[in-house]
Formats: sequence, C-alpha cells, structure tokens
Amino acid sequence: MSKHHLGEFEEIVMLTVAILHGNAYGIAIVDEMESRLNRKVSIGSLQTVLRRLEKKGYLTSEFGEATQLRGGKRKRFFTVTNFGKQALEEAKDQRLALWNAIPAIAFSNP
Amino acid sequence: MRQPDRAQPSKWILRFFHWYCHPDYLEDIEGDLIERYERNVQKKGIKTAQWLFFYDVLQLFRPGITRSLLRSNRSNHYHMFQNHFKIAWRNLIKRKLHAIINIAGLAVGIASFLLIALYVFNELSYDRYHQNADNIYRVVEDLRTDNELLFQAFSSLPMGPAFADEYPDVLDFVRFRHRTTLVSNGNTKVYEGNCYLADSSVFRVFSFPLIGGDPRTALTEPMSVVLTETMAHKYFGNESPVGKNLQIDGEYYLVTGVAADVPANSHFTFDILISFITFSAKNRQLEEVAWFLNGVHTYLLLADGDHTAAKLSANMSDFMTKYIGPKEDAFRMYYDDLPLQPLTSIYLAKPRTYENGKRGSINNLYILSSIALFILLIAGFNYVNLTTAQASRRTKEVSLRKVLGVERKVLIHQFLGESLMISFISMLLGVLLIVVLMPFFNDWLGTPLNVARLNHWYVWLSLLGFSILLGFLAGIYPAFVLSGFHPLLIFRRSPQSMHGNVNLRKILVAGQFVLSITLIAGTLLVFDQLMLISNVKLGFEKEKMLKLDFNGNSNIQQHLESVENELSNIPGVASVSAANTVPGQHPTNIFSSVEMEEGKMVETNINTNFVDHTFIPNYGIKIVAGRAFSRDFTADDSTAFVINESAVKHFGWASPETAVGRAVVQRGKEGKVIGVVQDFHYNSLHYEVEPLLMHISTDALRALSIKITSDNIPAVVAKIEKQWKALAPDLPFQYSFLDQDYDYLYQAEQHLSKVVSVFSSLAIFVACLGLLGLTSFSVERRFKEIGIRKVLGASVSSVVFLISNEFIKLILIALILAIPITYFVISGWLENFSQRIAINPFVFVIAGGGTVLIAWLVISVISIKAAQANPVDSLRNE
Repeated sequence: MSKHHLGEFEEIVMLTVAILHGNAYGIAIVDEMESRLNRKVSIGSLQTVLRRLEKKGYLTSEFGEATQLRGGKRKRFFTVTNFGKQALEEAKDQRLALWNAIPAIAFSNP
Repeated sequence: MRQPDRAQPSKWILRFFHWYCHPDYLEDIEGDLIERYERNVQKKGIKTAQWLFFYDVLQLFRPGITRSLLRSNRSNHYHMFQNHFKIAWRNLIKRKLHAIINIAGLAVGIASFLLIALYVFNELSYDRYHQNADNIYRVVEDLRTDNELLFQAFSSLPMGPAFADEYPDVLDFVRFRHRTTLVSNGNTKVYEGNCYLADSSVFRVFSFPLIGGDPRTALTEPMSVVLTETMAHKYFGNESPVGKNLQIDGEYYLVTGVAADVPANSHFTFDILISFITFSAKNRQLEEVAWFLNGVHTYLLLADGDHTAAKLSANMSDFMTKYIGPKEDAFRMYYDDLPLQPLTSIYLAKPRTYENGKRGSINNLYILSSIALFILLIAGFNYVNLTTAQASRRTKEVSLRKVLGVERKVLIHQFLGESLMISFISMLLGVLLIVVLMPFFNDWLGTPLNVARLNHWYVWLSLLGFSILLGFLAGIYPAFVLSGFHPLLIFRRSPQSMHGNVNLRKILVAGQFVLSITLIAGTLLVFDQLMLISNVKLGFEKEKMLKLDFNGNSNIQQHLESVENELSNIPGVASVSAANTVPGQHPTNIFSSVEMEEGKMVETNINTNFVDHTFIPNYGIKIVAGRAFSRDFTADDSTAFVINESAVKHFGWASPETAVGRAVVQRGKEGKVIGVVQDFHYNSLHYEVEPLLMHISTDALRALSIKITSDNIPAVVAKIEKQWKALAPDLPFQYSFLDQDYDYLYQAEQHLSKVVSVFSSLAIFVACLGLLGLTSFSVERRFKEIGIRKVLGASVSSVVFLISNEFIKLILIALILAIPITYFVISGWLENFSQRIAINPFVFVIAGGGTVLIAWLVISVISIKAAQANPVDSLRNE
C-alpha cells in the first residue's frame, strides 16, 4: 500500500478542482463534474469530501470576495496542494502500471 | 409575484442548516446553497427550487459538515462559559474555608434531611403494600357501660359475619383471634406468642402471598394451619411442611400452606395462622350471639373504600338495633359506636386498648419532620448567607467585566450558574453521604431503611428542584444586584451597599438560631421526659425479675404450690409467684359489678389480673389498707378481691379503708374487697394507671415470676432451668427479664431520643459552620477598621466585643422567638404520655446560653486572631 490512498470519488473531486484551476468553489465543481462525467453530485457528498481532503492536506482553500449574488456570501475557492498533486500522480501511476500489466490477449476478444 | 432574483430560500430550512452546520463551513456552503437555489428558481420555478434546497440541506446533514456536539457554534459564549468555570473554581480555591463550609454544610443538611425523610416515609408506608389497602377497614368499638366509655381495638365474634350479611358492599371479612400456643415438632418445642386464629378469607382480603399451598383452601378446614417461612424453617428445616402434621397445644394440625414472612411495615404480624373454623366448630353459639364478648380483631373488605365506610357509619345505630337489639333493652352495656378505621391509618392512629401489633406515633413523625425541615432550612440559610456575603467581595470583578463590555445578562448567568453549580455539587455529595451512612444508621436504630427507596423520580425531582431553588436564591443577590451597579460606582468603593444586603443576612442568621435553639431546648425536654419515664416509680420491682412462661399449662396450675416451693428453694431465688399477666402486659378487661359508697351495685368494665397468693409480696407491691391474699384464709381462693388506689378514687369511696369489705361480683362469683394496694404501673407509662382488680384464680395463671436476689444471674438461671426441666420435662424453658420487656415498650421513644439528639447536634453544627463563615467574612471586611481602632488604642477585648456584639444580639433575639415555638411543639408531644414533665424554663436558659457560648467561641477564634494582628499589616497597603 502506498501512503496515499484516494477513493474514487475523492480522486475525481481533486481532478475537477485541478481542472477548474483557481475557480473551484462548491457549485462550480458540481457543475463541472455533472457536465463532464454525466453523474449527479449532491452538495452534501461533495462538501464532505472537500473538507476531508482539506484536512488531509491534499486541498487548500481561501475565501473570495463577497458579491451581490449568493445572498452576499463569499465563495470558498479550493486549490490542489503539492501534496495533493503527488497523491494524484501516484494514483495515476498505479493505474497506468496496472493497465500496462494487462496482457494484450486479455481484452482482445469481446 | 415575487421577482425571481429576489426569491429567498425558506427561512426555516436555512435556520435548521445554521443550527447544525459547522461554523467554519457555514458561510461558503450557505453561499453555494443559495447560488444553486437561485439558479433553480430561474430554471425550475420557486416550488421545485424550494424542494431541491430542502433536499440539499438534508443531504448536508452528515458527519463532517455538522458541528461537534461539545463545541458550540457560539464560540464566544463557549469561551465565556469556560472562563466562568475557571473564575468560579478559582474563587472556591482561593477561599477554601468558605468553600468547604458552604459545600459541607449544605451536603450535611441534605443528607440529614434525606435520612429523616426515609425514616418518615417508612413509617408512612405501613400496610400500604396490600393490594386492597384502600378498601380494608378495621372494626373497633366504643363501649359504654354505666360509668365509663372504653375505646377498644377489639371487636366481637358476630360483627364480621353480620356486616357481610347486611351489606352487599362489604365484600368480605377476616377475624383474627390471638393465642399463645405451645408448638412442637420433633425436638423443637416453643411457645409461639404470635399465633392467630384467622378466617380463610385472610388471603383474599390481605396480600399475604403463599409460597406453598393453595390460598383459597388453606384455612377452610378445621385443624389446618399456615406457617410463615421462618416458622416452617424452624419446625421443619429445609423440608416443605405442606401436608405434614404439627403439634399445637397437644393437638395435631395439618400444615396447609406456607406464607411469606409478613413485611416489617405491617401494623401487626403473625407467625402462625390457625383456621378460624377450628374455633367456630366448637363455639357455634358464641359466634351468633356473643355481641359483647370481645377478643377478635375484625377487618372488612369494602367495595368502595371511604364511600362505603361512610355509608356503613351513617347506618351504624340502625345496624346495631337490628342485630344486637335496641339500645333501651340493652343489658348493662352497649356500643356507642363501632368506628371503622382505614387499614393504612391504624399504625399511626392513637392506640386503643387491646391493640394488635406495634404502633408508631404520629407526634414522633411530626417532631422528626420538623427537625428535618429545620436542618434543611439552616443549611439553606447558610448557603444563601455565605454566597451573598462572598459575592459582595467580587464587586471589582464585576466592574472589570462590565468595563470590558460584558452584558448584564452574561453576568446574571455567571452568578446564577456558579451558585447553582455549588448547590448541585452539595446535593450529590449529600446523596453520596447517605448511601455511605445508611448501613450505620440502620444498625444503630434497627430500622430496615433502604436507600434504594429513594431512587424514585419524584425524590430526584424534588432534590433537583431544591438545589435549583437554593442555587437561585443564593445567586439572586449577586446576579441581579451586583450586576446592576455602575462600574464607576464600584471603583469608587465607598458605599455600604456594596457589602451585600446586611439586613437580609441578619434576618437569616437570627432565623438559623431560632431553629437551633428550638432544637437544643426540644432535645433537652425530650431527654427530660425519657428520664422521667425510666426513673418513674413503677410501684413494683422490675429488676432481676425473671418471667417464665407456662402458658396456662394445667399440670403446673394444679401443682402450683409445690412448683413454686421447688423453684424458690434454689439458692439465689427470693420468691416465686404466678399470674395471668405480668406488669407491662395489658390485663383482661372484665365486666363486673361493684358496690358503691351508698351500697348500690354498679356495672363496670374493670382491668382484672388473676394472680396467686404470692404475687403481691413477690413484686413488692405495697398494701395501703386491708391485707393481701393469704393461704391462711381459705375463702381467699374464691371470694377475695384486691383493688388499687385508682379504683378507690374511680368508684368514689371516701378512703382506702372504707373500700375494704365492699362487694364485688365478677363472672358470677360474689366476693368482697379484702385489701387496697398502692397504684403501680401495670401497663406501659403511655397509659394512666387505671382501676385494677386482682383475684385468685388458679386456672387463669399463665406465667411464673421469679425474683432473683443473687448477682450472678446466669448461674441462677441455669439452676432454674435444671429444676424446671425436672419439674416439667414436657414444657420449654422460655423466659425473659421484666426490665428488658419494659424497656421494649419505650423503644419508639428511645429511637426518637437518639435520632433527635444526633440530628439536633448536626443542625447546630451546620449553624455554627455558617456563623464561622459569616464571622470570618465580617472580620475580613473590617480588617482596616480594626487596624485603625488598634492604632487609636483599642484593646483586643474591645475589638472582639465589637465583632461578636452584632451576632450575640441576633442570638438573643432568636432565643426570645424560640421559646414559644419549642413550648408549642413539645407540649404536643407530651400529650402521648400519662406521666408528663413540666416544661422547665431552665431548659431555655441552657439552650440559649449554650448557643451563645458556642457561637461566641466560634466568633472569638476568628476575631481574636484579627484583633491580635499587627495593625501595620492591614494598613500598609492602600
């Protein structure tokens, strides 16, 4: 086992945060995930994961400026930390290593 | 229509979200929610958006988002709270003495209160365990003869059946008839004094569960008997006795059931029940007509408790006319009334003559309850006093807090919370204390109290209520008054008002001492009364008098003279006599005719003891006129009566001498008075000495009284036993000492005196704790004043006087108030006794003086220290 272990949902959330680069706040992440992955994401599950990842040090966040919209509430923008990036890369490498290890014959016949 | 961009999500849902959401996440998540909501309103309409919003909020309610239970989201309040705790704790630690006095005083007060409450609850719980408790009534009688009205617990045989016949609402009746029996099985042979004939309905009416046998049939047949568990074990060991034979008074009875031991909180208990029909079978006629032959205790099971009882009582004279015949035709005596006593009231009711079982005293309960209340009040006053006094020392803290912007509300919370906290701690300590002390208390009083009984929601609730009330009362002053001061005013530190409400405190201190002095004086008076009882001249000799039962055994009766001779020949034995009842037992009340001064025969019910020739000299009873029974006069055996001085007074004879020779007719025997004895207390001192007849009747004798002269009592008892075994090998050697039996009659009073003295001391202790706390507070407050006085030349004694003066004055006022209270309470209690002490005013001098002395000592210890201190120390810092 590597020292990082990301769940599937965690990994997707982090990747989405990375995609949104600097513009990743709650609703934006939800929208992005919904449009790219075609899956429903509830605010509840997303926020739980965001806070967990932040606690683990994979993500960091800061408040933006208050606007007239959103009832005057500020947005919290998330960014992937270096540590998070490492974890993502490690996950990707592990996947790739696994993909590469699959013998060609395995997927040849449907 | 609302504008879409102005649409707001539901306030309620949002409030719910605010409530649970972790404060750190609140803002941005709320923003997200609102953003999504606003978008949904545009896309899907308000209604759907509202629903989706609700759905989102619900989904957010999960660990990771919600705040922790402990950490309040009102973080500021939380920190304030923490600070309040810290300050409260520091205050406690800083003034350890005060803290200990405060908490210990209250804990001791609460523990004492609970202990007494348990005792009182136990006394009030008598007979309530019966399922039909509210529907069982005892028939008693007010019996009227020519010259007296007797209140008896007895009833007669036909009453129970007649009530049941007459009224459909009388569902059932049970009669108990007491017998002392000689029970034997194998080698075990014992006189059982707690044996009753009982109707078979006993198990239907009362809740005495049977462990073995069928409750419906157990006592329906003649010669059947039910034993309690203890008795079953005594006579049959570990075997089941049901279906076996048991010898009672020489006849064989069939054991048909085993009952659980009767609970201790029953107004009467039994060890053995014999079926009533055993008796009825031989006495059919009596059972129908003997309306005036008393000797049973009758209990009725009524359909509707009080209601039925009221109906029965209203019709009582018609009922008696119907069954006994009209009053006018009555021969010599009639019932004024047949009162019905509710079962649960019997234990604490004023005892009638011929009670069954033991009786408590409602007056004792009043006394104990007042002590409990006094202690609680004293402890409560203390707490309020000390807390308010100390709070006034914290004015600076209050003003500093105010300067820093603390709202008044917060200050109120702080002080109330603090005082509530301490009162809770004390309450818990108090409960702990009684859990620990309960076994000792039980040992000491022989009471079966159980702490578990306290584990009721209403006890906890009232304790909680009490500590809240107390905490609140103690906290009110600092919370509402101190917090209201203007901070500047406090820093200016001049006004007297800063030192708390001095008048209130004075009133409370005086109140405490009223209670303390009442308790001390009351205790002294109770002791006085008990001394009177134990030292009263009984008029006979009770020391070293051994009572040996033979329960009317006819062999002993027939050979009485030789038995007595054999026993009195034992070295160390002075003399031996026999009697139907020994002093301390209630003699039989017998209907008789007595010749009055003017020669007219008058009917009366008179206590009668059947004795032998040696009874009067053996007990050292003095003859005031005429002579005692003598074997020299053969007529004495049948026609001689000896009476007491009370009888002389009662019948209105001019003098004891004129009483001698008067005619007496009793149970068909005609005789005359041959002598008058000085009054002696043949009953317990709870009763007056009533008129008494003594008469020789060999076949009524039941117990020997053996007067021992030797100091080596065990050796003499051993010799008596040996001789007894030789004389009556079939009979058990069952004896007791008269003085011990007598002491037993005053058990309730002895308990009371123990309890009263201990709890009074505790109350005084708590009051002194309070005084100690207040004095040291007062001294501390006047530290500078004392210093200045000393610099100006005041002596130590004048300073001590200065400080003690204010308290001593209060105690004197308290003394004046305490006197009437004590007088009132104690004279109520004294009503219980026929021999009463006069309330000695000196008692109040002792109580008041004692209190002043103790208080003065307490005050002096602290004030002398202050007075001796070098004034430089107090004046150096300004």
